[in-house]
Amino acid sequence: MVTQELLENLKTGKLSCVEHVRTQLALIKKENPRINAFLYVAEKEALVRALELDKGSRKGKLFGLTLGVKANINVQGMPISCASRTLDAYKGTYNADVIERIIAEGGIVLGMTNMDEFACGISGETSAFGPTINPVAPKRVPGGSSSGSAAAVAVGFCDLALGSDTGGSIRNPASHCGIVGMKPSYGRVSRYGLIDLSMSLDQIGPLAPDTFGCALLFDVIAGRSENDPMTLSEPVHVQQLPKTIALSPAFEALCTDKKIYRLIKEKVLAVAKEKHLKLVELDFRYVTLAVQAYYPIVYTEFFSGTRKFDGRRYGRRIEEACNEEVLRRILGGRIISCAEHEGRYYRKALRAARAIRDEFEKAFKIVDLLAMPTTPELPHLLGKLPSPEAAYAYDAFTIPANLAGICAGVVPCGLIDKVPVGLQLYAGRDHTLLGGMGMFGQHLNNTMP
Amino acid sequence: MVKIGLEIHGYLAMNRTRQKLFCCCPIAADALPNTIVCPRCTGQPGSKPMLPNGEAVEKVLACSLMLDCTVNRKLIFQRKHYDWPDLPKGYQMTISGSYSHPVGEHGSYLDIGIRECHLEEDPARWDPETGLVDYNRSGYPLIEIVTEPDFTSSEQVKLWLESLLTTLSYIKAVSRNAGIKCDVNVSTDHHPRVEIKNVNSIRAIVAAIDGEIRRQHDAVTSGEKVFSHTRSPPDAHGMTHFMRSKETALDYMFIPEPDLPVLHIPEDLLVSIQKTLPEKPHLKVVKFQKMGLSPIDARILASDLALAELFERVAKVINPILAAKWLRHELLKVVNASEKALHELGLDEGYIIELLQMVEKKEVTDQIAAQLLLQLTEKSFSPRAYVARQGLGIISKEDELGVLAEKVIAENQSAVKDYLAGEEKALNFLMGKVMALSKGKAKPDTVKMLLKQRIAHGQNKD
Amino acid sequence: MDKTKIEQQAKKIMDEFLLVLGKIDQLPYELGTERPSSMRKDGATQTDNGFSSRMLENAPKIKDNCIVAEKKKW
Repeated sequence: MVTQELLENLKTGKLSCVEHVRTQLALIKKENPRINAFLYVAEKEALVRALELDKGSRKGKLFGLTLGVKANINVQGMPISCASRTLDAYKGTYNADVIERIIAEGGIVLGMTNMDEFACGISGETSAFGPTINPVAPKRVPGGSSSGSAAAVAVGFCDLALGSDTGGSIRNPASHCGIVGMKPSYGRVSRYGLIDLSMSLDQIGPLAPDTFGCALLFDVIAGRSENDPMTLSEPVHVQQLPKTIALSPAFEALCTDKKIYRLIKEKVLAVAKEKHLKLVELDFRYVTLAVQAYYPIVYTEFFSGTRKFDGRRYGRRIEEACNEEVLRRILGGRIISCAEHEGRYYRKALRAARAIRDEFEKAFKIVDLLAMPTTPELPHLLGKLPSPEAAYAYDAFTIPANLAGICAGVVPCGLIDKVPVGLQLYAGRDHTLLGGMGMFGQHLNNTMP
Repeated sequence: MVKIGLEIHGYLAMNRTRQKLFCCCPIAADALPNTIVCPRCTGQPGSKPMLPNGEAVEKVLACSLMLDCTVNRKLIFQRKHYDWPDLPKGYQMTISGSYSHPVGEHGSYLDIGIRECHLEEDPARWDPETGLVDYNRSGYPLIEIVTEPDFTSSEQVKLWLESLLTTLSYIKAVSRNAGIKCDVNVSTDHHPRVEIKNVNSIRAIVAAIDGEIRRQHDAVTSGEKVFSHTRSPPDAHGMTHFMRSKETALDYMFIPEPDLPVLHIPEDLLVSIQKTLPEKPHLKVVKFQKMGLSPIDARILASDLALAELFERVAKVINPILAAKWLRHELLKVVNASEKALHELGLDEGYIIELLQMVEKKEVTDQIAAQLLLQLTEKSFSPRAYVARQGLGIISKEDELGVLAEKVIAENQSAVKDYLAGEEKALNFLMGKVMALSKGKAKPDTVKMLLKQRIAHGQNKD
Repeated sequence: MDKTKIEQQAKKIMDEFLLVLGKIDQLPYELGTERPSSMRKDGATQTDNGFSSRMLENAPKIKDNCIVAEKKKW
């Protein structure tokens, strides 16, 4: 709702782009030193762009709306550091496809947002340039790895943001910061310009204060591109709102904080009743293997994707400038990839991923939506970094969507001990998902305290 | 006992698309360094490959078929990782490695087994002496042809490579100017094989092979052990140096390329490529020799597809040996002088045939015909009509020629004396004079006969 | 950072995960992802004349319009 009204005001000229940008720049100046959501604020560029837009015809789906861009997505001329010393001197030499689309629709890039270094984290604490603060629950982590994007939207630094999601990196921080976030189906959004974590799992996706903004940004960035041969158009079909929704005992079992699951289930029942959704129970066999399938793929692909950081053409040699988790993934990836293992780890993991994908394909023939928590626990307290294994288990609810290549999104569901909790939905199609998220978003707006 | 195997890398000629393999940067020679580049071929963070250039895939398929390989129709690109200054992504994208089948395999060419043919991208150009890296070439499509170790001598390698390059030029697969790069594997007397990397010309390959055979023999003689290792490309003195041993052999850590889909070769594409494949050069050589040509003429005519096919068509209506003489000598002379390729000259074949028919029927002298042939490379016209118009027809009437012969004899008494004294060359001189007087139109046999006759007659008179 | 320790930790995690995955060997799997097109059609073009200079700007060392990497002798 907020986004729709704002867009209306910008389009009619009731609010000028320059004024809007100035207001947000002032807020950033005041609060960002504390929150550390932005690593780079494109003050001059944004004002120039705003002026240009105010002078022209007020057209474009994102007209005048401001965006924070995660620091692993190339924006020409801006520092694209991936929150790492490896690339702290690298200036984007080209625009990612998503940036071109945003600019074409009148969006204004406000700057680059903070993240876990090279997207290798779940908390927002592992940036080389300091942690991001959760604006809604300041003692807790904001989540990761798109920590800056989520925090920036939550506090109002920018209207919308881009993040990337490989195992939950959009949905996790969206949940912890109480905003909306979505991971599109694999191949729906071009990855050209996104610095790789895991090529066969990564997707760029929107973060927004509401489902309207999320759907709007998704529509702008989605689409086939010859720059990313793995992109696919969404199959054309008559758009219908979802009619069935499922819960699964498999996910209930994985949710260690029972309060979270109770809250989720409560909301699902309430919305199902209000919107006349048929409630179904589904079981999954391979979902419990998700974490074990995920990390070998990520390790292997991340190792490969980081070979270009050799310090010859830009930045530094990554092994000499990165943090422990990044190095762990590189060294682990090297071990898995070496000839003596003959690809056994990687192939086994890909097999498991395929099995999970097949399960979901079958499931979405029967139901339109699947509901579950976003994380099994509330965000931990700042500074209480879990062990690698514990951190990995955190992704249990988000990873299956990436492995299966399907879309998943998060809407704010309420608070537990004043900490935001996000409800996660999976769907077989992006527009079904957005429809479902819209339903929950509406309901929650009517019932939030 | 010597066994030699080759890994040949050739730059594919992208005549139609003129683009690199995974990006649409243009293929251009002589560009300033780092001016034909984009985020993909320079390995910028976040860049992804485009789909492979269809023309490059077609060319590799054509090569595989010409080399009698079995073609695989489901192909997977892989990443071959290694750390080297000329490799912008830290890996090379190639269709070869532990995860997939090559484009073509189990082929054979002139009794040498072809293990595989595949497609891959070229790294950048790195100068080890200055450290400078130029990415203009980075991403060019390369074909790699791997032979079985069936060669037994450097001479055999030389002849085979020359023939292979002709074959590849027949299908315009490989860029003539760019040349080839070869990794050469040599083993002697059942010792482990030694690899020499990046040898850049046939001459250098021959020298490298001979040098390596010698080096291995010397090593064995002086009691050293021959072990499997890799040697650097020959330096300015033709010397190769130890680079790395098998123990420290590179582990390429292959993974299937996640940024590209499976490459499917449609059946109809294969069929259409197969249809356009020409007959192989060595088969043409055999065929031409059967038509009566000498081995050397046959080889020269078969060395260029356009020339060979022109000859085949001309030889249908003209005596093959005459046709061969004219095409192999006169036409080639003119083509080479023009500095263009035959197919670029736009010759009217019909008029060439017309000219050669006139030669066959002795309607014009060879001298005139040669002039006309040169003119035909510059413009298109009917030789017969032109000869008629210009009065260039052969003069064979004895009375006409007799007059010229008498004149030349009268004006060149010292040459006549030389001839009578036994110098045959003097007769050629006199013939030349008659030809010049007749502006090249005098029939040589008749002139010769008449000169001899008149000189003898003159002598008798005296 | 202790590189060996981190490497050992990575190996341990991978081994544990591989054990859990061990049960699924019987599942079928075909390598590679399918997409409607797998070869580039003629005609795609992109021009960005400023790219080269932007690229060289990021380089630690340049000379004569080239990146300067290490030198080597065998």
